[in-house]
Amino acid sequence: MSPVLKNPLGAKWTAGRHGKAEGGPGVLASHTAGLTIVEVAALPGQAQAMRAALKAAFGMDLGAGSPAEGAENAVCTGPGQYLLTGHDVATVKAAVGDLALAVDQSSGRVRLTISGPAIAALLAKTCPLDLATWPVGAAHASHFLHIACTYFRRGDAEFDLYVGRSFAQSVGKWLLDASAEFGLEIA
Amino acid sequence: MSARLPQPNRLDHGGIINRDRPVTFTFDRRVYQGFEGDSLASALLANGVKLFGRSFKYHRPRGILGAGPEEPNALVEVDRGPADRDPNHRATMLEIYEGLETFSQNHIGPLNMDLMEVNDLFSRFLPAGFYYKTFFFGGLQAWYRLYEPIIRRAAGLGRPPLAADPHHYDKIYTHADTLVVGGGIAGLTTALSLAKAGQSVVVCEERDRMGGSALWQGETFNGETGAAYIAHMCREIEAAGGRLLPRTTVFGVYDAGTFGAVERCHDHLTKADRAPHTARMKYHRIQAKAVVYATGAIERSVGFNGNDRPGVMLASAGHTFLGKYGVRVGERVSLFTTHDGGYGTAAAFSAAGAEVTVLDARTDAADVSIDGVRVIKGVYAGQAHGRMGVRRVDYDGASSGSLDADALLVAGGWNPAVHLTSHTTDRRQSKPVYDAELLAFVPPELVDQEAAAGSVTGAMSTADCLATAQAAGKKLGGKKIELPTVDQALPVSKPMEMWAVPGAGDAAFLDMQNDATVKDVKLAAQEGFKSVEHMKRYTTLGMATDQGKTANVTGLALLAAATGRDIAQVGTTTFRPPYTPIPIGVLAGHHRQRDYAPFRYSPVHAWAEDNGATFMEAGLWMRPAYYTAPGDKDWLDSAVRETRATRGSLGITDVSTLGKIDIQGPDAAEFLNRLYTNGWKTLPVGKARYGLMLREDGLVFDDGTTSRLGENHYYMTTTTAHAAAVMTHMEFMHQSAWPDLAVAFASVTDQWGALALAGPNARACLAKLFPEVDVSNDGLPFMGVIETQWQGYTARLFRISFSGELAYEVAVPADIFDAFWQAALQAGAEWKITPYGLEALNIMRIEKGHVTGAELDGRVSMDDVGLGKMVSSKKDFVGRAMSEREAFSDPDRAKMVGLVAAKPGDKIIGGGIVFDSAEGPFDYTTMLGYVTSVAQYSPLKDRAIALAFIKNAADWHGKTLYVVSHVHGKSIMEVRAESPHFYDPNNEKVMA
Repeated sequence: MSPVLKNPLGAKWTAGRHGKAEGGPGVLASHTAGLTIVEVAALPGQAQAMRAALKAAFGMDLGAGSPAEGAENAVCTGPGQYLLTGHDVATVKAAVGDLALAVDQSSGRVRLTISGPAIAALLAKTCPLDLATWPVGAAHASHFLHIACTYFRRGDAEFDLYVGRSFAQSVGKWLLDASAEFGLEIA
Repeated sequence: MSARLPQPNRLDHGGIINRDRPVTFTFDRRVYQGFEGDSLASALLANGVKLFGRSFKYHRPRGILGAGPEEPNALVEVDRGPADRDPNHRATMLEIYEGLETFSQNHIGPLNMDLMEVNDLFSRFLPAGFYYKTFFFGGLQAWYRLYEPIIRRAAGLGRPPLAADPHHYDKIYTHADTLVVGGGIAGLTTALSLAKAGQSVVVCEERDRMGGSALWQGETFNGETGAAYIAHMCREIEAAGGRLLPRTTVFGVYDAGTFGAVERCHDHLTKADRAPHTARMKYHRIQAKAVVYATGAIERSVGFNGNDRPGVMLASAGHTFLGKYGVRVGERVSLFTTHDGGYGTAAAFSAAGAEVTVLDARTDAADVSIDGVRVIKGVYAGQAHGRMGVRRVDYDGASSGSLDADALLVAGGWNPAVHLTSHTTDRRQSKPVYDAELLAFVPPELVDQEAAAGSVTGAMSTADCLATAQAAGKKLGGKKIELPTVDQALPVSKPMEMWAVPGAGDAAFLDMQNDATVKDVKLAAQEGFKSVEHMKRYTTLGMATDQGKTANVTGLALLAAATGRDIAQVGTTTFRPPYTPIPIGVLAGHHRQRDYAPFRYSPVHAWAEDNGATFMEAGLWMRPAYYTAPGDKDWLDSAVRETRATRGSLGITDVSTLGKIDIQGPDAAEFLNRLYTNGWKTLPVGKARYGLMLREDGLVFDDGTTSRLGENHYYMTTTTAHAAAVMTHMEFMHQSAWPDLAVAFASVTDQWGALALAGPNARACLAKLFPEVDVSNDGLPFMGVIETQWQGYTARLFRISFSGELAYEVAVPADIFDAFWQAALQAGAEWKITPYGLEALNIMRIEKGHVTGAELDGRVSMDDVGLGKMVSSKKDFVGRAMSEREAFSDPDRAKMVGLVAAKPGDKIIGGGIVFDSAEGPFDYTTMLGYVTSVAQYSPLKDRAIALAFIKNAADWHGKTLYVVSHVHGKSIMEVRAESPHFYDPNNEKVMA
């Protein structure tokens, strides 16, 4: 029997409507449980070689390494650093070899996907960056309120948030607070 | 909203209020009615109220001076219930709503019979500097017992709210190409020019709607009314993507294009009208590439006796109440002016049916003929009479006389609102500059990313203001827009220089809020306070909630005259944020009380909650301090029970919070060699080693164990407290000092849940959890590491001990840590496995003599904590050079020692100071050292024990010492010193 995965977002994070009840929800949120996440970080001078290795192994085209050239399954968190989803750590380590560090973060990071018509107003509360300068497909290592958070822009009004697991309950609580005025629908 | 109440001073037409929506409110418990769109000031004036409050120092009756944010007098308290009242709202900025309850401030007894008015009778004995001069007598005792309590009672404006602020606030990150501060016609014109050029523009307007005075002044734009023209512009700006934020005050300008603004979202609405879940106010942290200061200008008064009487008002304020709100503040109006601008107001009052007399200070003023307006040239207002409201005005000068009047309007000239242009000198050094032509300070030369538009530039006519707006738009890359033709333009001219009239003295007020008079400024100059900053502090002119918006320039002009200097030489005091008062709560935003900072939770937090844990904060983490079991009397009882169970059989504790860093790469061992004091190249795969890190200054930084998991793969643990600092230190050293090292590392603190099994049965329990793994003393010896699997997930087994028992730490991915924890409890049940918290851990590690953050407090060397042997002589490492400082080998240097209470039941107080005599004196000349950690009860010693740092530590072993706590009534505790390694000093248990 496989052990039960514990919900890291806490007891208040329950499916359904929260905050403002009238009208359609301004914000939709979902948590992907059981996602395989591997963090890779190139050794000095090896970033381009690491990207080439990732392309050869998984077909990911990460361009020249700018944060805007990431992909949904390869989110850039810093120079030569990515969060890869969908491949386990052994496979990734085998692909990058001594070019890069590869560590499992499947338990270490929690991914929330948020979307909806009020998403810009919500992010204006949580994140100091200017959405206007932020193309679809780009990632930013920033903050969710006071909490370190990597944002990935999936679409015009759809974002992935990666936060440290131990912070997830606070993120969940603060997301409920911040989106209450818009109405939040948790999947 | 049913019956309409009379509003005697409200005209039956005019104004931009909504006459279809009467609004009922109270002031000092009396019920009044105004209209939607009224400020509290306009609504009360409409009802004939003249007295709004009492002045700060002399408790003089005061009315309304201005009509906007500059108002110094009419400060009121808003009461929304016992836990929700706030003081010092400016009546001129407070919008009325149905059911609003307001109160006047700063009086004892009714507003019209304030007992503190006695101060006014003695005002000649309360000059500037009175407090400084008087309260020397009697010395400090008199100050504390007599003067201070009396002054405290009288001090302060309004009553502070006593309960926690019940509202919530939000912080918003707002971005723009250009921020336009001020939504008057100039600001909007510039904004339109920029928005049409494709810029993202945010316009912040502190009043309730966009448009400023153009809305009601009566001028027309291309034949349209001001209100219609403004509405067009607003629609165009929004259509071009611009954002208009009314009720939003830009309160501060900071470096690099950062601005602070507060948007008031609720204060003008009834509770029912507020959108649910929305914030009372929003703090906008605005980041803008460019800024337009379109902040307008604030009119100033003139110093003459009685110029603070209720009913004496700035001409622009009287005009605003008339034009914007349809409220006529007087029927017999005297208007004292130093420039042509006064005539526009005179004409408006005359047209509204008032009898107007203009007192024009200029003998050479051009003849102006306005129906029904009498003009007397070359005269000034010498004295206003009427304690509770103006009744008569004496004038003097070329002629003299006395006029019956129920209002006295003063047009003393305009001060551009330059405050924001002096908040930062980030991109330019200059401060506002004095323009001797305009008799006012204007913005300094602005940099490329800044522009000014409208009357803040010193422009006076609407046409000139529009021209500056066009220029500002052009400067910042805006599109040229056609300026409208302004008709029915109001007259303007430069003012005559008259700061105070002849004979102005101690009843001629400059700063109405602080009761600073013309005489006070002269006195300050006489007494040598010649710097404007000194004058400000001596007289209090320009302080408190209004920051002297109506008073500063006049005050420093008079200081210049009194000291025989130019105004430009005297300069201004420095304007600082906030421009107008803002609640502290709005700066905190969402982050208050439990939301002050995030919490970090272990994967088994919920289990601990359900099983009697009491938590303590460790940095951001919540960690179990102890678990209360049936029969436990108190926390110590629980901790001692947990300690005994662990030492006697088997304990389990959650160590998930330790910092964990994964290090990979061919140079990983070299990297560790440089970070830690001890050597790492010989550590075999499958082994852990205790490591010590120093700071550059040679003092101990952090400790922990690092394990070698593979040829080029290490796993470091740090203390919970220093995890982030260690990571930062590693990043810094790798990036700046050793970028050539082929190594990379990542924090995996959150990836792994970890528990410790400790006690004589720990091995048996571990064997049950991992039946396929050889965990015998040979298979997993002390400091051994095994990577294996648990239910298909990676599990790491470390034979390390903090408690001094035979112990193991096991790490598994956090997602399944809860399940693993339950499995461990089940496996250990036969040995009565007992969860223990930080308190029990603390007892055990003190018994063992292990150091933690309390000891590694940034002041200790390796030797001080007995770890001097952990230095490899074969290599260099961070802190090496400085760790060889002479001071570190001084025999007098305090080193770690163990202390044991003299008898059971005696306490040792943490932080106590150690002495060798019970006789005293207990001071720094005799102190030997200090206590860092205390176990209030050690089962091993059957009494309290402690770790301390004392001079010549080893020499005191076996001897009696005394711990004195100066913060606990100098209680003296007798203790005996010994080695800090109370428990199993030869490590037989951990190696077993």
